[in-house]
Amino acid sequence: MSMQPTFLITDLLFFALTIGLIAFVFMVRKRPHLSRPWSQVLKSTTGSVSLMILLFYYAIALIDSMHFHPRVAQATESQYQYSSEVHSLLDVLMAPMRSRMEKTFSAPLATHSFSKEMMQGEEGQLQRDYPRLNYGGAHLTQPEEQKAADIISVSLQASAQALFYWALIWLFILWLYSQRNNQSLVTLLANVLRAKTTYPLRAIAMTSAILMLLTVVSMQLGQHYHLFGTDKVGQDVFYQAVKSVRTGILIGVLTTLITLPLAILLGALAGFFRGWVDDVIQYIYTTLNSIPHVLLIAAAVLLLQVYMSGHADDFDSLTERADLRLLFLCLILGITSWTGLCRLLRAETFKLREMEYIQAAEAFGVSKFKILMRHVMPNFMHIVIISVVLDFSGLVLAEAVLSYINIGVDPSMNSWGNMINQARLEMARDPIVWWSLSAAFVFMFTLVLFANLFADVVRDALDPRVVRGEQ
Amino acid sequence: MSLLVVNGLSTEIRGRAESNLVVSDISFQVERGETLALVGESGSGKSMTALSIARLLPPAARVSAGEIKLSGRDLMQISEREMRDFRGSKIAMIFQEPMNSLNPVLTIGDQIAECVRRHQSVTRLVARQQSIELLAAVGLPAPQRNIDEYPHQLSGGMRQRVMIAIALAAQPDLLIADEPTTALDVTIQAQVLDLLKDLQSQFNMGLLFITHDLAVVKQTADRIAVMHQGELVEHGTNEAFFASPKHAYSRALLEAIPTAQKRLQRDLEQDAKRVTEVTQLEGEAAVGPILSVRNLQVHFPIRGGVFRRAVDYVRAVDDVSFDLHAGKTLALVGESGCGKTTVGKAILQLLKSNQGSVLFQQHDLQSLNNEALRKTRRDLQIVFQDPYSSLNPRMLVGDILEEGMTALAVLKTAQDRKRKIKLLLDQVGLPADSVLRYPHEFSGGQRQRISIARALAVEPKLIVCDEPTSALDVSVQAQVLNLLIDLQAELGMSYLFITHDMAVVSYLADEVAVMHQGQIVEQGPTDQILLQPQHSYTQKLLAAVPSL
Amino acid sequence: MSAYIIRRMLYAIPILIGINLITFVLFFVVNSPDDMALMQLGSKHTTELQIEDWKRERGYHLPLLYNAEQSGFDALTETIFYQKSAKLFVFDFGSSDSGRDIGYDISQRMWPSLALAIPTLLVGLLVTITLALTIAFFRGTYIDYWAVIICVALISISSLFYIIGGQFLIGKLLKIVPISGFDTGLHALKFMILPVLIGIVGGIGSNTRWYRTIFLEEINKDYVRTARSKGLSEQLVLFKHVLRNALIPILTGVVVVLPLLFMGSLLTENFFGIPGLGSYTIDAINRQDFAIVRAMVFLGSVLYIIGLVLTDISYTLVDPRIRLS
Repeated sequence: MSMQPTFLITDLLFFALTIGLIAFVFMVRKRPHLSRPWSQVLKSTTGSVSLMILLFYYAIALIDSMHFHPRVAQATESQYQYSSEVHSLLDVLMAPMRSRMEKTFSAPLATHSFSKEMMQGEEGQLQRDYPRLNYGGAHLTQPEEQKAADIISVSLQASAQALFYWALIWLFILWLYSQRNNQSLVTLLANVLRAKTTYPLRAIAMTSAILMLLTVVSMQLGQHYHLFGTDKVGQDVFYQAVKSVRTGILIGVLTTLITLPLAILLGALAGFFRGWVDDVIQYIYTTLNSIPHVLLIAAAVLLLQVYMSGHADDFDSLTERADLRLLFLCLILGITSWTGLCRLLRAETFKLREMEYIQAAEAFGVSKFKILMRHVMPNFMHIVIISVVLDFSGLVLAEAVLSYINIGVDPSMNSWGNMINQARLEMARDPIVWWSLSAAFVFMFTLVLFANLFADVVRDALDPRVVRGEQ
Repeated sequence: MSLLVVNGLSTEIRGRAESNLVVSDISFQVERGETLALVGESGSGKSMTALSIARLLPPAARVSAGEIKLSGRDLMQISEREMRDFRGSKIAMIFQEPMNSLNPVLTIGDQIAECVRRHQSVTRLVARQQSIELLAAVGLPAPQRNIDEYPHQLSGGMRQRVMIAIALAAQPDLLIADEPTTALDVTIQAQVLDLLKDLQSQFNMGLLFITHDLAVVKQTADRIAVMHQGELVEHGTNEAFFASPKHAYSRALLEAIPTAQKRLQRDLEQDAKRVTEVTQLEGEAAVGPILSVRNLQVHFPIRGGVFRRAVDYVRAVDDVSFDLHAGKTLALVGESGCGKTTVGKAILQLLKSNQGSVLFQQHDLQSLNNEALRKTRRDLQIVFQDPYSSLNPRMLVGDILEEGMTALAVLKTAQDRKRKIKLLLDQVGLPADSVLRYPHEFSGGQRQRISIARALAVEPKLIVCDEPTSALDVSVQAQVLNLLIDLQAELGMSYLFITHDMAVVSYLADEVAVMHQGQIVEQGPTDQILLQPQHSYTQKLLAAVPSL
Repeated sequence: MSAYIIRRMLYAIPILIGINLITFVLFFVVNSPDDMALMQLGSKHTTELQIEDWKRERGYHLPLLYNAEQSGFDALTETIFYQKSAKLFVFDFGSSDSGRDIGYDISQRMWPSLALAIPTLLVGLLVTITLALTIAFFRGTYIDYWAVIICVALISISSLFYIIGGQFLIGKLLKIVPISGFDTGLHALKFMILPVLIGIVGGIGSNTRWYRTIFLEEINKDYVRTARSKGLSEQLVLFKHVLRNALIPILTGVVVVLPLLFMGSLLTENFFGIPGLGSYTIDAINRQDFAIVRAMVFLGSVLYIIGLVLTDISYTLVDPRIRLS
């Protein structure tokens, strides 16, 4: 064993959620009334393209959640020593980008540092100039002349590789597909090219081509260059941005996972039993909702900081501490966001309660608990799903704002919010250091945009009352 | 020259993949002062035809062929701007739901005057004066006050009168009335129909009357056009149509309407089957009624004041008493809001009653404890009105049918329950493979059959049928009514049949109780009530029912 | 009607008590004043005496709920709960951990916040309603389709980037207006333009999309068909019938946030160095001044509840169905 697997709390929750999601997919596939709206989502081009991109992000987060302690030295024959540092599988895949630190800022794909330094010239005299980077383009002897050609040739080679594998994979998928549908591969190919398939296979194939190209090219270029430059302490910005994916995704999904049971239970109870139960639940969520969310989060995070500074010895490592803070942030974000869903579910239960099938069940003397489980909850689950998907993008955005006012994730954790927070201090520099901001922007915008587009498609498919322009 | 000539009209709704023809190649004309009734069941394309004429189709639909000529001008050829001048002044429309069809945040006066001023250049004051006159003409009790009121302050019938006033505001040549009385109670329906006829002759308008109700058609129409699945299947004068309908669909439509005569016929056919049963049932009747309700009162509090204490009560059910004998059908008849549904729910203990007793098989249901009540629920079931909300869309039909049996422990083993479900589906005329299907795969009539099967699953002695057919088309209604009658003959249970429809009452009830404002004003054997009503309300109600 | 409003107002009382208790528990029970002192003074080399002094200066030395050393009424009043939490009810915020009078600071700083928030809200409302109505007019066309996509894209941009981008683009590239700062009176105008503009642009995406949905919901209702059947033009139908109905949910949605305008915008004020309540709050969070954060939590909640009551009142004023029932 060259490593020792370790599980952070958020890892475990994330894995549990993933398993739950897979189970959900299998459950839905078996029930036609549940799978119909989802197949409508997949049939829409926007829906399946967005889903693919979201899954791509999700996969990065998943790989980045497989943590371990790397082995440092062999103490005895059978006993290894493990570092207290925690690495993830993603760190292994992106090893060169993680470890190759420059001294300070450097522009994207640069070979020289961003700021001048005193150094010895060829003839031994002191002069101020831009020094070569330790790693970025270090293999080039004449960077000025060779760089462009090198970048192009590396990119082209990587692209060719990517497209080759992409074509192989897709031919295989289409072959399988044609076997299952008793179609000849040629007709299927023709249909895909003309976008005449039930599911938008052409768009899916093109999205996967783009994702594959981006991944392979950036990984190859990343071996020799800093794709998005480096930050103040010389760390690769591209690596930071990719590492931030896990933080964003976790904030988006764990928050809802933690608070969903609360919202569902209280919403259903309030709507179903009314009377004093309803009064109490309404009181709880109106009170919580009255406190401005940012302030409640700020207060809670401040108190957490007080607690952590007082109990610094309780944490094994910085990573663990940051992880706990992330979990706590999800929790407190959840507490501020469950009220909306709870109110929606309460209103829906109110309506459902008047449905005749529930009265029919009452006429059979079916117990209240069974009525809730069998007749009420399955009939408002679509609202839960819509709200989870809709809230996701808002939570990703919230993380950035909170980190910016220092009440977000731990400053040592990679997150887009922290990237922006650190980069904005350099806004005043001339020429401006724009790459950290741009990297955070591109990564965050892509995730949030496709999450929003996906949410729209899901809402249209799951909620029959939705208003559409073309109606 | 005819006022309106529709020639070869086809209208389609564009779908994702292909277009769906909802009106196909229909032709008819309407003369001045004449009423043409466009009759058909839901989905027959009659409303689409009306909207095509006014060019008010929803964006997804469009006229794909044909011409529509109004006083010689082809409406399909003129610009939208010209068409707007036509709407209101040449063609006016009345819709089905008067509440939704009026703007809730504008006063009645605003909404009428708006139409007046659109088509005549008059001052605000003159328009207001005209609006008041129009309100008087359509019979609003206090036009001077009503004009400054909002739609929600008026009753349903009044709102429909306001709609008519709006339609008349610019003295149109053609009035299109799309199911104008369907949402109204029968007594109000009679008034509104009278009003429409009066105004039509007064203004010499052509009236295109769209409805599903053949009885209404017989009273109002000069000529009749029957639509079926987008096509015009029959077209003729009122007399000719009712004397001898030519098309098979028209005949089926007429035959589907329940009447007392048809019941007699049916009874004769089934005599042999019934003889044995009647004797048996009479024996039971001697023992006493299966259900007797005494002085039942259900009051809903009206809450007010700062602390929401009950300041007054709505007497939804006020001192109701009746008996129902085993194997018989008692119809509880009344207009909307008379409390008939509340009675049904109070009997089933789905609602708490304030006073009175419900004796079911000699047990007072209100005094039973939970366990005893659960046992009694086996014998007491309900079938609801809305075929769409009465079945849980997330449950398989098999599970829906099984739920009651499991909850009330009717059959112990899953094997037995499965067999029973198969039998039930057979009894209500549904295929056995329905078990593994979801409610949305069934039509309205089929869903009502499932509801009936669900109630039958626990072998009840009494079923409360709460308007089980009023959401169904007339041909489907006939099937469901016949099914209910057959099941009663076969299984011998009693029905408390809650309805507003006199035709249905005459078709299947043994006894009738007429409800009005929470009280039963008259009850007795069906023939007696229908032929010799004693109470003034019953007389009024019966007089308002359009008959064939 | 008035009974309804009075009831809603009375309902606010238990909620305020609840909020007060939550803040009390959060700030004094979950974390003791000792923890706060340690945090402020640094945990190393701090003596008991220093902590005691720190607490005494700020009045945190008292017992939480009951002071056994005092007798009679004082046993209850000489406590942290009475001195720090109960006094919030009469808007006595006490002094911050650094010794300034919080009440005075708030009364000074709310005006710049309002000066920023009110124009942002009003102009923003006008712009987004106009845009949404235009999109609704072109519903079902490509204009509608792309407008919605653009709205979704605008929503997907973090508010941080609106500020950074706006500051960079206008302030740095075009050098039209100063990047940040504030002044009194009319001179403040040139400092307000940029933050107001950014505030409006930042809200266009979500608000336009939301209002469009409201408009389309109304357009599909039956009364619109009636209006068309009278021969009214599409513009008149939209402006007179649809807009009037749609304004009810839009305006009542705005009323909720009206009182909260006092609180200012955290991000914008901080970025542009505007001395409002928003930047006050952020500074307090960064300095870990618990007294100010506590005061702002309570103030914000009170303003929100006022917003809820105002919403109820405005519904009864705007909607005849409620006013006349």
